[in-house]
Amino acid sequence: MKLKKTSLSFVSILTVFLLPIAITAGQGTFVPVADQEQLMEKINQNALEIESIQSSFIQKKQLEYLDETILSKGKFWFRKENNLRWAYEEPFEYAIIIHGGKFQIKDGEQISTYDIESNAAFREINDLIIGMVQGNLMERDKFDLNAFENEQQYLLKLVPREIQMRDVIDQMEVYFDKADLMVSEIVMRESEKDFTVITFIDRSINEIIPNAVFTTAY
Amino acid sequence: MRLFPTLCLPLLINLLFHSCSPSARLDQVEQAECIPAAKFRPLGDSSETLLFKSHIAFFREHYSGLFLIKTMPDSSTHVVFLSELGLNLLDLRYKDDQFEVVSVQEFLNKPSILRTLENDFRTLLLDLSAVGSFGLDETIEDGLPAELLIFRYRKKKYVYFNSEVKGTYRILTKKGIFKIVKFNMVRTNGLEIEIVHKHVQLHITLQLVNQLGGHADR
Repeated sequence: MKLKKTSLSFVSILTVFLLPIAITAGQGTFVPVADQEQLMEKINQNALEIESIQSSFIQKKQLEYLDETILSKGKFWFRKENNLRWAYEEPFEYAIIIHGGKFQIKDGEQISTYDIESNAAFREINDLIIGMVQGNLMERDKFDLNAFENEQQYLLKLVPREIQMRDVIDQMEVYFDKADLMVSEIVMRESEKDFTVITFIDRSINEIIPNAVFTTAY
Repeated sequence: MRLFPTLCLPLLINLLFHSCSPSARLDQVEQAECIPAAKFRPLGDSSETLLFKSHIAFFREHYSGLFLIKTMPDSSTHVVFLSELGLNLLDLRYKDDQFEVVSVQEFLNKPSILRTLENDFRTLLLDLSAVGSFGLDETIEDGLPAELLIFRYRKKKYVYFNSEVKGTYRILTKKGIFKIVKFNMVRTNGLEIEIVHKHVQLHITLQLVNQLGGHADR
């Protein structure tokens, strides 16, 4: 991740927080959603009703020339408005914390603090992560969007409109469970064989999350 | 006239000490027939895939993520810098002592940055059998015995200190009498590498988090 305290380029932010396509095996064939606008309205309405989310996640990175998968695990906590802790636990501890207008990174014992409002780039990060975990990322006008569904899930395919962003990401796919309209998986595809899959598990919605979670001391 | 001692005396003293330093004199050490490469291979077994947690500070910019060093069956090596979310920031292919940029994000795509990073990774990946004249010696590092390897390559002098007793490894690269890059490696608990540049505000730290195994079968 690139962090620059004064002027961070938008592309670098996207490099860190945006994503492409997906592959879902054994969940049935996806077909286009008949009324995409209605689906978007449902998803956005659902996002409005979310006060907090806690979830574990598993991140798998696949590279074309690498047999092994690079596996990372962690947890995230989100609470309206704009409070987030995105924490990796494996293979090493690293946390991104957004709280009270500050953007903090805790890397082991090292803590860096950035002011979101003073920097357009951090505002972008803030919007993107929080949009992603709430499921309203597709509101953004930076993507061409196509919606699909099978019996269990909706799938939104997002293709970046900006050339700079397309240099980083070919396509992003966001999977929603139909049961609760929550994001269950995000796949970022840089090319056909290079992609990252983030799967959310053990989600809990609208439970109380204390302020302490959004501090570096937690 | 007073300027002369003010300016020249420190320079002369510096010259005197550097030129008399045992680590700086290629012609003072024993000329061996071949380099014991296993002892002087900073990254160990070259067939393994190494995954490092990484941090790069370049002037006021900071990049963090994962560094992957992967040796391929064709004896090329990929050096890949990934964001925490797994997206490729930089992919360099190293073969026959030449680097090829496979992919690079815009914010890293500057000749000076790429050249500097390539030089640093050349030092870590260099095939010592390609080095011509060199010298081997023994020295004392903090009161403990260490082996010393000195050679000139690509207009630079390389000085390797290998202290198996201390579990440390140090490489200095010099141009003329001046140290330009210092590599500090600690192997007592995994592998930690610190790359410090003398004349550029560039500081790289790599901490081994995983050894993923051997060659990709491709």
